[in-house]
Amino acid sequence: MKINKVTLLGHKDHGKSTLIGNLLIATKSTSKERIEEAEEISRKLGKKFEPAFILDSFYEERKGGLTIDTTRAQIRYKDMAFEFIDVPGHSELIQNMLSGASYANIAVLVISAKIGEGIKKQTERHLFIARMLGIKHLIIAVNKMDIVNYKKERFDEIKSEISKFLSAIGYEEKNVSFVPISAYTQENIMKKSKKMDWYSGKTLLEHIYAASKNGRKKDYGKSIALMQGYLENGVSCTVLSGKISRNPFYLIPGYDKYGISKIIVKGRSVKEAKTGVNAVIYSNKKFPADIRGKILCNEKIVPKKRFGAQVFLVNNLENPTLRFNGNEIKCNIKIKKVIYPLRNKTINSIKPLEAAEAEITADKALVTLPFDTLKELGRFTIYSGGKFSGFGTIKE
Amino acid sequence: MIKQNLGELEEKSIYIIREAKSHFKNVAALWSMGKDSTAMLAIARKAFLGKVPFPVIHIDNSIDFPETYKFREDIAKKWKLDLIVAESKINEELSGFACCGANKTVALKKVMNDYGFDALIVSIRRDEHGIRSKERVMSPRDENFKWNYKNQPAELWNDYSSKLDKKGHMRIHPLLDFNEIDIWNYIKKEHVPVNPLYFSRNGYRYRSLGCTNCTVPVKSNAKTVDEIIKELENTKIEERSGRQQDKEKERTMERLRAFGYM
Ligand SMILES: Nc1nc2c(ncn2[C@@H]2O[C@H](COP(=O)(O)OP(=O)(O)OP(=O)(O)O)[C@@H](O)[C@H]2O)c(=O)[nH]1
Ligand SMILES: [Mg+2]
Repeated sequence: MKINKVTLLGHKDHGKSTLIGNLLIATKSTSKERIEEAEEISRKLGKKFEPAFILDSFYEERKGGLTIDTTRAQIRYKDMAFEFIDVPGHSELIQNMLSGASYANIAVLVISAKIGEGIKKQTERHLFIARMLGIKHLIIAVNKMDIVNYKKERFDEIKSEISKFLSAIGYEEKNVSFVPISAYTQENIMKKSKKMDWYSGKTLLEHIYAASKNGRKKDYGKSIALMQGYLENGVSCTVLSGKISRNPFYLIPGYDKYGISKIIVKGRSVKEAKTGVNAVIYSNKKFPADIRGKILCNEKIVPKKRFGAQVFLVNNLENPTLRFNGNEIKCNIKIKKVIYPLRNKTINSIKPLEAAEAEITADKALVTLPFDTLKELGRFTIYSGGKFSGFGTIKE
Repeated sequence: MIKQNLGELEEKSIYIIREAKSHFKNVAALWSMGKDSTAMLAIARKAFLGKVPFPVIHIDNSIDFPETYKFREDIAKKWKLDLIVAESKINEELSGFACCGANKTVALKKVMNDYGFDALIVSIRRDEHGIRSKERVMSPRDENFKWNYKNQPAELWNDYSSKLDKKGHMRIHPLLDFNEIDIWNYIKKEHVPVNPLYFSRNGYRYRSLGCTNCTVPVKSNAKTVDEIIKELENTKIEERSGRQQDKEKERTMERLRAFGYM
């Protein structure tokens, strides 16, 4: 069964974990033991029943009433399965949020309708990150409608306000849907709510289902494999696009041509290795010692030392290095234009939790492609002295 | 239980195990003779041209079932494993979780130090437990083997952390994405050998193999891999429920007896 990966997004306490927790219960996707444990802990901590505790398993998470680290849970829906990725909403935990959200292709943004909650900085920040991560389909779930008496006005207000932000960061209207919900009382999650008859659209799960049907990946024309390292006399590699067959290929950087004499996949000799496959390849010509991170391609791609990217910072930059396809490379990051927050366009530096267009100069030439063309060759993480400081996507 | 695409799961595991082998100098794997770690070895064999390229460690408390020891010897010979048996002692004073923690960790620490391993492959899965579903694919442990779970490294895409506390080691989790049923489907597809304790005898079978003292069999009539898969398709019971020995102390012996334990 194909598993569609759906990340939750949104400010802390707006109800992400509660939403998944209750869904797991309602779809009978979790065991009695886990539900009973969540009930018992809620009681012991003197709280009402918190469905979030099915996911929030660390003691500190339960006691503090927040998600600290990302977690996953699957449910079946019609002929599909969804893997929900829960992430922390707290701004200090963006690193953990990214460790979950970066695996998703659909996102559900949870915004609490409660007066005083609504759209927060983190709501917008998470959306911006989703955009950078290439998440195309968004579902905006306006939550805690039970607290605002299921009033249409509050839903409309939030919808129009967040719509402005969404179009400012480049989300197309056709890829975004809105649904008023109550995660706690399960309104409009699986079943149409009787309490919100003014809403005639799909339930949350139907929206996710529709978004899952939509996203089809188009294949990038060239055949490309990423070299991992030596494995006995061969080289292990992952096919990123097209297929590797017993034909001549360029090894880039370098442009030396290698005839592929043998391809082993899962212990068997094969004629070709397709996209997504991990192969071991052999050639009669000797591969160079520093094979890791090089690219095998049927056409020439020009390696670059300098390229344009969008970067999102999580910590301060200090003698930064890029981690790009298994290698760590010293680099210089020159900020060109602030792109998040939307307001400080005139300043040409960014702080942690902000994003910019940047020009990156790496210490050695890399085979990059725009993130939109082939994501594996268009993304990187940034480290400063071993500390995670952000991530980026390549534009050109 | 949701069945996932075995081909994709296997590719991901192969990639992770190969990454571990190319990043770290001295990799080892834990092997309990259970279904998960045995399936992991089957995947490693496919990833490395037919042979497991790292030593496998059995933390042996010397009270495992005879079936388990026989299975260990048979497979070690058949697959030409570099087997390290690390003896652990049962602490009679402690029980359950405390006992497991104390013995297994002491024995493991010793073997890791003696051999100087810097990475350890552990075949845990996210669907086993709420806490396990919070694990990273590559997860550093400090000198005292502690998991700093409140401050885990970033792990975006397949950019696995390679940073390591100098005196600690890296845990590698190549099966994290597998569900229990995927393991059984994989065993079926690849004809992976199975420890006989997983099959029903007198109405009970082991669903998860821990230490003999603490793991009890669950009610089941599944006598073949196919029957186990069928059983799992409909179950609502936790895989590790057989390890909750504390709740059911009185019934432990009864069930062990049913399974032929003295
Ligand atoms: N009344 C009401 N309360 C809700 C609803 N959804 C969530 N809550 C409550 O809001 C609080 C926070 O919910 P969580 O699910 O922990 O929020 P979260 O978004 O996961 O928060 P972080 O993990 O910190 O990012 C809990 O006490 C929930 O019971 C809802 O629809 N209605
Ligand atoms: Mg949460």
